[in-house]
Amino acid sequence: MDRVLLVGQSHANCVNAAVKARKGAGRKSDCAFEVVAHGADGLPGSYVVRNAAGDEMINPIVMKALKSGAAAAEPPRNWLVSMLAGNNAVQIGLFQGDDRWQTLLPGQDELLDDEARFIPYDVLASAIAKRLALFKRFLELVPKGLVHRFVHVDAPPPVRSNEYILEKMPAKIRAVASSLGLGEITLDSIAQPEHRRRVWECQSDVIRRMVEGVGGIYLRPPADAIDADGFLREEFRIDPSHGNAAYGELVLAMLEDLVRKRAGTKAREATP
Amino acid sequence: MSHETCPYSGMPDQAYWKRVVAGVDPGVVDPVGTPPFGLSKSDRVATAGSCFAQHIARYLGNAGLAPYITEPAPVMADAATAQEFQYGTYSARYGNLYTARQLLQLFKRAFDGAEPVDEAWERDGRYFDPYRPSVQPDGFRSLAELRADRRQHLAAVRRMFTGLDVFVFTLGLTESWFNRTDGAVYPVCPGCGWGTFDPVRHGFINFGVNDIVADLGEFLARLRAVNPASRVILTVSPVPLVATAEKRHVLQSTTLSKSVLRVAADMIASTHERVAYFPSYEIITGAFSRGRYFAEDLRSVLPTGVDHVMRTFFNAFLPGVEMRRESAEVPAASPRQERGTVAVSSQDQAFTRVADLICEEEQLDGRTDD
Repeated sequence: MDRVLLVGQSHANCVNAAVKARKGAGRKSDCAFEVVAHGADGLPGSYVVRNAAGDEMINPIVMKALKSGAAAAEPPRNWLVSMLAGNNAVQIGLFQGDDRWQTLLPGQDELLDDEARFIPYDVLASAIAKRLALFKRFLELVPKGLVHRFVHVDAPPPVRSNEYILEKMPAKIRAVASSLGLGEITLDSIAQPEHRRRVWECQSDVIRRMVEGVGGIYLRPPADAIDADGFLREEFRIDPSHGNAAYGELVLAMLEDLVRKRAGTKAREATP
Repeated sequence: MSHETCPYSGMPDQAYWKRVVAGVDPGVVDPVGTPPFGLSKSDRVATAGSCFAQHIARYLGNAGLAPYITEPAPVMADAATAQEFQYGTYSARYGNLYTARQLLQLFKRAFDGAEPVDEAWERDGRYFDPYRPSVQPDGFRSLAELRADRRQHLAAVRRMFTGLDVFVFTLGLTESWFNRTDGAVYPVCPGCGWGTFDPVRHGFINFGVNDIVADLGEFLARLRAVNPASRVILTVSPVPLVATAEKRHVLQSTTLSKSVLRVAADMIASTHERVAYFPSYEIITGAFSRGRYFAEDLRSVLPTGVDHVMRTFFNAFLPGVEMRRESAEVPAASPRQERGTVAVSSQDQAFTRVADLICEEEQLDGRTDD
């Protein structure tokens, strides 16, 4: 049996809601979805913790889930699906004060703002990669023997509407603005949509390289949830940076499709 | 014999080799003398030059002098990212300026807007700035990105020259490579790490004293035109040439280059107001150190050597400001130290460099066996 273990924090709330909705509807699936961790407190101590000996290990909640059923006569094939690490683009790119900045994605040549400081893409990517050091460590520590395939589903892209962001801004995101010394948040405090999307694309590129670097499967957010310009469609948002249950359902369907297509394939040696 | 009328009688101690070089502990040799001006902690000090100049920038920062940075690291960048992309290495992200011509060229590009014809070096879809190829280690992702970054870089250079109080420039090399079309000079020979060498387009030049004096003189005139009160400290890098393009021994070329630079620096300092010469070259290469300020490669300057240079710099220009040492716990002039030797710390022996300096010129020796 293919067992899909979903691990995340705030970005896994959507799949948790979708799994519940499926159960409520009595819907069957070839995959056994199990949300191992979700929400801000889903992984106490973070993804990587230290054991009593001081050694790093992935969070015991994840380890326990991976080991469960291992002793069975026919142990399940574990697909470990990460929905971790999607918030750096928000922290870095959502707000802009007087020191506005911008970047160009590979292949782009149009600057957004003649006055904004330019930051080369590789500089931004390097800064994001450093912020993702813990996620990278998580990838390195995933126990190969307990995981059939490792998959990472990227966080949703930004929503387009700055008005919506201002209206629905959670306290945690307001705290980010406060840490930047922005004071009262207004529409002017929120970076223009294309800037936010570029930062998200850069983050996605960094995460993709990390995941593929350990032989994992990287999945972009479900295409049906994204509009022609690369923003999260209104009907799939629950707040300025997260998907809702309908978005979670698209993620589950995407994972079902992946498992179905790859069910007969053997895991690569490099798979963590 | 009588010395009553000898002009050397009654000279200050600094005039006598035995009194201030051979007869004192090496760690206290201080050839600076009295500089024409001092610095204060509130001065906006900008730095540039060959890779040895990176030491000066760092030590000033370590001592609590806020380095004058007009092209700072982006706010989201961590220290490692900033260092990798050379934000804060110097006041702006221009990389190493090995020659006086490079310095003058940078000034002209920033203020005149005249760009050299050789705009970018392309490799595997990445674009390198020929005038600062190492600041973006993997190159820019597109020409548009290179141009956007260069535009704001040159604006930062303008802010630096107009806003600085003191400019410290380390002269490093006389040998250089240039574009035959417009004379633009490169920090490194095309084809050696970056770009492609083309003998039709690229030429070699070994600047003489007159060239360097002219370049520095023009630079100073232009600097003073935009910043009349600016003070300038010139110094000569003690780091030998990694390779010479002249058909002679690299040791001969090193001696000639450093001599030319030293003469040019003296000619400029002695004929211009508010220009000082600081003898870092003499401190590192002086016979009193018996070569012990150099690492095993006989090029890299060890932390104790840099400490000595910067100690004398602080004594001369920033008296009373405490310098933070970067070598191990070896006192400035250890009483236990054997007379006539320079204390080399275990840290020095363990590390051949005081820090990870960024030196494009090392690409000139393609061999990696060292």
